Amino acid sequence: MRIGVGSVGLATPLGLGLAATMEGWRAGRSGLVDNDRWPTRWFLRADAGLVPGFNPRKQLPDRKAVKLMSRESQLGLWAAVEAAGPRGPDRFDVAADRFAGFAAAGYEVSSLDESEEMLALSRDPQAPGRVALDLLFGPGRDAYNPMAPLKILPNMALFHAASTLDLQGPHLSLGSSPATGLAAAIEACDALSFDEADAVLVLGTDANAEVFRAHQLVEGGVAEHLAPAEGAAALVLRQAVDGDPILLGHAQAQEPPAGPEPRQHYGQISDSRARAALHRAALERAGLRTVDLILADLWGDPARDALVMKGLPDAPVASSRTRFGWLGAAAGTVDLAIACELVRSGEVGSVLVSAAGLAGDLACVIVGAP
Amino acid sequence: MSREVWVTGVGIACALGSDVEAVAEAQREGRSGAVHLSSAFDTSAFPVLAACRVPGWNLQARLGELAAPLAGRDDRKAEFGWYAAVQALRDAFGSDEAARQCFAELGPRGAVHLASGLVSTTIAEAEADLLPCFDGDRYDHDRAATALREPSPFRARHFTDRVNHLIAWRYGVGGRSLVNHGACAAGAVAIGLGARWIRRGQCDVVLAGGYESMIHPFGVLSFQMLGALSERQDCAPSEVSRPFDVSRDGFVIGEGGAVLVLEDAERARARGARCWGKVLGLGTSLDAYRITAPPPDGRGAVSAMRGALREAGMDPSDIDYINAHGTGTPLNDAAETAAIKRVFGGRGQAPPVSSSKSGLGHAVAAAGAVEAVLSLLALRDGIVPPTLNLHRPDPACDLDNVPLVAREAPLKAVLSNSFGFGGVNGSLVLGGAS
Repeated sequence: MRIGVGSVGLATPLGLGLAATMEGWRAGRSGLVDNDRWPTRWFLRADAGLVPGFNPRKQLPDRKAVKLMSRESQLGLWAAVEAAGPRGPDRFDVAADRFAGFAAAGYEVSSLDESEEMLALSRDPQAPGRVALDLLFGPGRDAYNPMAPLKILPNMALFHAASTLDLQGPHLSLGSSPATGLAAAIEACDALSFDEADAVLVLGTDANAEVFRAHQLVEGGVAEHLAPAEGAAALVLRQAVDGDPILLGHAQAQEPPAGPEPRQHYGQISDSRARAALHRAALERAGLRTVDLILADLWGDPARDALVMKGLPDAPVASSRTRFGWLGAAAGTVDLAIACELVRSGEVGSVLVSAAGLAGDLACVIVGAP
Repeated sequence: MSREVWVTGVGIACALGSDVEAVAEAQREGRSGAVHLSSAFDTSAFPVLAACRVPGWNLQARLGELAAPLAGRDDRKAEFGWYAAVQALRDAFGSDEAARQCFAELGPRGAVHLASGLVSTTIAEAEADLLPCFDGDRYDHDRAATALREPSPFRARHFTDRVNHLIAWRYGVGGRSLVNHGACAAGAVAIGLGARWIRRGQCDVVLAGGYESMIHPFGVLSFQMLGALSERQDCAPSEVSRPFDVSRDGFVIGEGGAVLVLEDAERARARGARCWGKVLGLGTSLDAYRITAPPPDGRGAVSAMRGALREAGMDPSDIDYINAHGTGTPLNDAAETAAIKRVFGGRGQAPPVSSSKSGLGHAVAAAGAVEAVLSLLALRDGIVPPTLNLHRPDPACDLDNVPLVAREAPLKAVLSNSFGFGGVNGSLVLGGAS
């Protein structure tokens, strides 16, 4: 079965929506702006990749539900609705229980507002550095929003997309590396090929421009090279019909550790062999020797990027990371969505999208013209 | 999809023990793993009595030098995952070196798929990493600048691919490596999808399972405020979890980890591996309804169970026992019963149905994996495990729920249900070794 991409939704630092993102992409713009979400004097950099013009209360279908959503769920729902709204099964003429949802979403941490609320509730007035359980569990907890923890359950982005679009088919919720969006797309190809679904919404979403996510970027060694960023992409995969970009080949792998002690090599890579093998496998599966364009996992770190480049086939290379910032779990899906539009518009015949997680998980998808 | 999938290694840590045979014995004898929640932290101001903690947990004592990467991180859930993975690999291959050799030979045909849940902040982490960033009740960005310059052992807790990373480091797994975040269904989905990779011919060996621990103040507070936890105080901890009973009022929080080594049967036979049982089918579905409640018609659960049977090539009459999701919340047990009846028929037609959560609590993201191991042990031992504390069956839960005492019965196939917050459902069909 040939797997096609029936539609795409995007919310990126280049713009809200597919058209705005692609206009910015073609113009060669950067999506990085001064970070006005929080004072950045403590952080390693002052810029961020923020989705412009996104107002969830005005732009999402259910204003009441917005308050139950984290930023990544809001962005994910926007992209999902653009790709498959208002009701996916009707738009694609598929039964609801045959329309699947496969999602990649980011690390879950509470928003600053909710953390302030929780810590205000529990802080020991006699010892400000300590949590007082009698206060945390005391009558004051009634003021705390009991639904708040549900915002950060890692499968909530998929829940909101599925309940809004009425997707009742198989599900997969993955987290939280840039490769997981591509992994979700690869699993979706299999679900279609093995007749487990007739259509799959592949969703990738993340919101790293929140304060506590930024803490994690410091810990993961990302912040030195890439700005914190937010964004989402959604693609509807189905048996290809005329005009659909085709997912021609794919591969997944785990990069070998970079050193003898695991703590020291989180986020680092040691050589390019696993990546080279990954790309060879995907090209072989696609029946191609090379592609017209590669969207690669380049960070702007010369030493790291040199190793990444060494593992790529011979073709022109671009990277969204340095234009969008660290999109985390959304990165692979955003790149794949852009690749699909470049193919659909005829600008290129084939694109290889490659992504890697901090733990060394690798994924690669090749999209091409019908 | 023709290849058979064997389970050739098992690792488990749950409230019933951290050794698979101890867990099997506790299941046969109908023991509960519940203890006072106050054994974990001060609950004098908290209205929850019980928790199902892994007893006597000490990773260093269990894994020696392999515990070092997680030492001092207050990351109990990752400890369970790492421990279960190591145990499963040693069980399947005999030694760490043999496991490593296996994955070196397999390259990209060896894979990992582990379920992990919400990483809520622990008290130690809050005090070390968050409170120093606050001035009074407000986050102070200047203070954060100082605090974040200091290394913290706790921040890495939030990287949920940590255990996958350790497995790659220690055993050199070279194929796909995924973290499943499918809430309470995640463990079942991780195992079922891992088996599909083998069945489809994409992998030969897959390490699959799940791990979880939310038995800390911020973790349990969330569940309690949602009304999901039992607040019963008038009994012993072991009597709090009461699935299918008319007096049930919520679940007891559990924790643990369970990991299976899944292997292509032909490969396993050729190397003389032991077969714990077979993974025969997975069904998943989305409710597309509400975050914390299933649809009244149970359509998502029905779809998941039928999907699992379809993939296994079985009829409902082929299933000898159903290991229910069976949380003990009023809504879940009634809706699950209704869904089972739609697929299997009513009492007399449907097979026996029991809930492991009556004895080991709800291990959330790990639940599906832990209960898959318990189902494999039931198949091996020829018993239908009991539902503990089921003295007064709810008329809305009118199936054969195997009250109080295990029942001897030859089992060939078991269906294990896992349904989660956010309307995600997963059902697994497991078969015996013979």
